[in-house]
Amino acid sequence: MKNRLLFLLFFFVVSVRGQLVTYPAAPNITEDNTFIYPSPYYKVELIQNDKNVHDFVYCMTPMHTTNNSKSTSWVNFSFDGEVKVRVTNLVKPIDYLEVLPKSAGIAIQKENDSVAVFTISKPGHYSIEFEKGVFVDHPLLVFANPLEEHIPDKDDPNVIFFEPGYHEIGDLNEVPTGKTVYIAGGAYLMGQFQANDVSGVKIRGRGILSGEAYEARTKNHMVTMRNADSIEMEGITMIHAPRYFVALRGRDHYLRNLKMMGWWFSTDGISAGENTLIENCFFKVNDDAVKLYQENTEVRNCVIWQLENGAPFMISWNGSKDFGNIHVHDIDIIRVEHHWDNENLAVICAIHGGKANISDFTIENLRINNSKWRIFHLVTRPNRWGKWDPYQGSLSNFTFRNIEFFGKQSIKSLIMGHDKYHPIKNILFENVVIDNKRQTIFKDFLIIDKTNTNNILIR
Amino acid sequence: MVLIFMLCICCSVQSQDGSNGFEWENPIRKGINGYGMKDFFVFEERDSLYLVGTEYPDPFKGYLGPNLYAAKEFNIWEKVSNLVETDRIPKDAWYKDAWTALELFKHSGTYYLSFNNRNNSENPYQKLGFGLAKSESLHGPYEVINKKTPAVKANHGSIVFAPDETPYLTYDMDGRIYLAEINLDTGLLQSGSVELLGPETLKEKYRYLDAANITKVGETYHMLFSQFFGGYIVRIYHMTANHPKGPWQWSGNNPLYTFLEAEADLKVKMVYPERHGFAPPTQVIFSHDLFKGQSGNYFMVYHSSEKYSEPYLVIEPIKLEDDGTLTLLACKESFQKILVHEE
Repeated sequence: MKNRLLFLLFFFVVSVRGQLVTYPAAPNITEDNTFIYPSPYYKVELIQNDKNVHDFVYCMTPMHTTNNSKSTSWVNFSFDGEVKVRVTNLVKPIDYLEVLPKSAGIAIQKENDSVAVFTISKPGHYSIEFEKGVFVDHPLLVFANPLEEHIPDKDDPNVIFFEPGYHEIGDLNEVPTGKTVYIAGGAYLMGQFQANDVSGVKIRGRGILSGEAYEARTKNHMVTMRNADSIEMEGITMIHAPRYFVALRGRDHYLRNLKMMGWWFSTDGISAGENTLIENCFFKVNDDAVKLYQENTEVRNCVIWQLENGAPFMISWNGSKDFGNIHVHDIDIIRVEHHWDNENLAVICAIHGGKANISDFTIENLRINNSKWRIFHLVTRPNRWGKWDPYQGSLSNFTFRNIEFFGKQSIKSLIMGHDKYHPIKNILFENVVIDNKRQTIFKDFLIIDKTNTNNILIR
Repeated sequence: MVLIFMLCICCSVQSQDGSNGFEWENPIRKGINGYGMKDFFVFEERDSLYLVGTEYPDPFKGYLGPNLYAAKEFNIWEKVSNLVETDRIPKDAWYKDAWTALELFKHSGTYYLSFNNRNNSENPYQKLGFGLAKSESLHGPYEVINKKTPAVKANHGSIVFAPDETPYLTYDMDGRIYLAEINLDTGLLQSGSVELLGPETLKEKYRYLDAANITKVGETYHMLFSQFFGGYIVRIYHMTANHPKGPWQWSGNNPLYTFLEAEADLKVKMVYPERHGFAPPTQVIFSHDLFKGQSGNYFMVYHSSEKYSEPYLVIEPIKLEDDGTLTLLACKESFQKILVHEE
């Protein structure tokens, strides 16, 4: 306990006007580590109440041959009040500056040719843009977490506590019912967690969970829980997943402030159970960011950087059980790197090849930046992942409201039912703005196959 | 089985016992569409091999097919003709834009080209339709027969003749394989379609089915098709029958082989206008067919992985037993060689 208190004191910068907590890099993060290493591209200082702290800048090289960026750098700290962020670009003179998401309204100033400064006054996930366009070489992400509350006692028998440092935990870590896994800031876990038939499990902290040792589509999802109720995850950063980051089945799941960065065609973000709330999460993934596959799902206030594959929101490949009551709102999609005309590449996507009747979706207040591809792709069609029922399977009662796309779709969106038994109906588009123009005519942005669709409206 | 000698094989080899043979290296790229081809079909006539298939568009020039390629040996192909005068096709024709899964056959002195197609002007994502075209010359130009409407909206149509020479169309639709009698004069179906393979026939073995191709060897019909399994596993299967209508029986050696995504070639071969310009398809189609080579031997033709790079031609030798069992002699190996014994 004494050591922990010393550690916390060492890394806290405390004042009456705010707090700032940074975390040490684990000892495995060295220049010769190919998975994660100190960033050669950026230096970041955090300034609060006239005190400067150098925050460690992590860097990762994307792993898949089709990934577009050459690196991803990021920092991770917790705070309240205000913090000034001073970024030094170590490799190129600054000729472009922006902080995304735009909705955060953060102004960034160029201090000199290599230094930029901005101020953050609320927790969030930010991309500091030094390059313009869909494809950028060396992005920098800032994960500004809220201060942690109620940090568990490591001596509590219901807590599995990982202190700062490197931990090889393997891929078969079972988390028992009622346990809290706490991954402290500065802890770096190489491995995965799983659980079956559990309830009341929490995974939280400010540390890192990595699947770097596992090749694509091997081992498990980073966190896999089946028949798991009342599951909470909060605050951790997950990287290099070989499959999904979070795959939960059961109900009553609460996922917040998770940061996920992965590279493969199979690195999906979150697929959770019924009655789930996902909020304030960050996704930089190369397969579907959020699977909207279960009844009563709410997703809000998330920031998504979609790589070249997958959809920010996937509604169905193979849904077999009717579901609905889905609410997605206040989402910033800061980049979509789609450039192939594949069926799974759209911001909101369904290639529904199962027998479920999927209905009652409200998706609103989406802001889409740095994308040149389609927004919507809603089709019913047999696919290799679905168990096709020749007589059943539909999409109905969807509302898309306040969708703002900063740019132009270079290919049109699509709505197409497969046949009369698999219709798409009762779809309302309300206030869809593309390139500053409110859409009023479908043919300007959307292909509608009239044969097997019904009651598609715009206003 | 009688094996005869080969002529005109530049990569010929001779074994110690004096038998001749030839070698080639898969995948074969030389002379075919560099931006990728798949769904290959090989047609043999007068000691030459002819090749058609689904051709990827040139990203700078657009679609440049459908083309006929010819070869005297497996390693080197050359384009010998453009099969259809595509610039003369009316803008609103249903068969204007796609040209996939082409096949050639000759019947009663006339050459036929079968294809799957659609018009992209209103909706480039609509279902494909099946069409037939004919010509007095193998090299074309071929004139579309069913200009008004496709025979059926489906994928990967293929013509097979019954023992009494009745033509049938097999096609895949919704992950199932269907069969119907077709009229070669009209290019339209002559009968209703029946499910050849699907949940009813395969029961617990059913998975999403793709690209069935039927080849008649002697009195036996051989059908090759693929099934997709979760985790990105594709298996290629073989069934036999005495009539295209079946009953179809599983032969020995099933599956013939299995493909895992981890085996996919990651290296893109061509230059594109933008980075990572080759579009890895979400749902890879595995079309396999049999053909008789100049040697009299039968071979399996398919395309190399298109998951992350362009697909090209793959030819592998096979062994067909009298009971219909099909064995791949050097499955998935790059360097292939067969020995041909003179009698």
